Amino acid sequence: MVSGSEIALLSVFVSTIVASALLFVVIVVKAVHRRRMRSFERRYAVYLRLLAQQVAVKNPRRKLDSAVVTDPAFLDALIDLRQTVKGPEVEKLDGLVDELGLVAHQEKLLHRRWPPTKRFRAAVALAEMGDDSSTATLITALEDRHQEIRVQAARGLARMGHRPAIDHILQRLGAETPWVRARFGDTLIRFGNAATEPLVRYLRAGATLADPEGAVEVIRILGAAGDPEAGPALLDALLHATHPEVRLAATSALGRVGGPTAAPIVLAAFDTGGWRLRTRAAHALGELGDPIALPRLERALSDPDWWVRRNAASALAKLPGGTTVLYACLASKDASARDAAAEALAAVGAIAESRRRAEAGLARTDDLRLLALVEAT
Amino acid sequence: MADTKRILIADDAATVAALLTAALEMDGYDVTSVGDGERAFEEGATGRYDLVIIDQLMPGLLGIEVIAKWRAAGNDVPVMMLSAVDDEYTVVNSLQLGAVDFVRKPFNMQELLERVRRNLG
Repeated sequence: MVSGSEIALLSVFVSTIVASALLFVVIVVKAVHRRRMRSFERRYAVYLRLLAQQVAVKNPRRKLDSAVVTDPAFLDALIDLRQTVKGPEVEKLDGLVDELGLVAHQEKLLHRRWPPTKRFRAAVALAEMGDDSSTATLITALEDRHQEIRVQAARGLARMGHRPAIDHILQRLGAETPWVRARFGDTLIRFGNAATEPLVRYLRAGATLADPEGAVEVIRILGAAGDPEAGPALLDALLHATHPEVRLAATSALGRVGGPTAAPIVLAAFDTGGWRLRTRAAHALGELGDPIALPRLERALSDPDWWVRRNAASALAKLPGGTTVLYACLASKDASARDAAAEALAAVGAIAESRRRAEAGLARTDDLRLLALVEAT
Repeated sequence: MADTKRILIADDAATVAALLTAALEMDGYDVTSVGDGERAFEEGATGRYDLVIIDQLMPGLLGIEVIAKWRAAGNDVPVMMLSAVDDEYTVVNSLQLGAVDFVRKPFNMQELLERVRRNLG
């Protein structure tokens, strides 16, 4: 009969063996990994030198063996070098890519189902090389099951400026996670004004109702691109969208996109959506620069929300006649309005100007008010 | 027979160092490469070099700091500044400190070689 202490001893013994075995495995794996990394770094350095010679010399003596296309160290060296040079050197590297059949090899890797790391690396390589022959592969990769590969595919298509890809990317927008949506958005911005029409079409097709998250991203892109052609669609979104985030996004985007009808409509929408909309509307009116906004912005200096007051004051500082309004506000009975006005005037260097005038004995009433307010805080 | 001109490359990016070394050696120059600002200063202070090609953003001392230290020590080795950053401060400062040229990254290799030849007289 086995006693309790014998069982305990046996347990300790077995645990020690198992722990030692695990430790041994970890040590071996780390050692193998270190060796692989050192070998990768050595190969990378060799390829870099070889590629640099290919690029720098008119008739390089040593041709590259096509077997290098299977080595990820070669791919990394090629991509890194491609980012370092411009002009004829990039064309030489592209010529090498063609000669070695690099694109075809990476496409084969991407079409496999496994392993994901090699597939991802292949997607990055195709995106970096930006070869027109890989557009079909990259468009297919927009539907890949791995989100990182989808993002690389979009990136590559944007680098190539392949316009037909815009609609493919847009179609995926609503179904994507927020991270992928934002990355897709960044790639659409790269297309510049070429993306305006498809994006506007997307909005007008009912995205603001059917896909508000996608619509918010599209509106962000239109704002970042700043193409005035997007103005009418953004105004529509502000006036007619029911989703609050869509209206907020449209308000911000209008500040960048502008247009002659933007300021009156932003003004009309000012009080239709809570403090967040008022905040963005105030900022947008400052960007639009239309003095029609002066009265409403002056009233907004007394808004119950701090952020609205701050944005209204900053906006006034940008409008013709706005600083006059800000100076006048320094005499207001509303302390919050006075503070907001003083802060905006300080941001445009008014305090320094007032001090200079005071020192020269030329201070105006407004200067004295401003300096007194600054002293008091 | 003319002496071989010696060039010091100071850049922590392996790709830039490899590319410049290959191109300049093919063009007949004797090239040394270092990867940080401190080593760049020490190596440049030896007086062995006819031209230095230096990156602005390096570990240790910045390129502009290395040039300032050389000039303060009376070292007037010709310097070409290489940088991905071409804001007015960096460009003007490096030229005021005596850099003979400023090349923006990414660069055209043949144009850079031509500038090297010109700056070496």
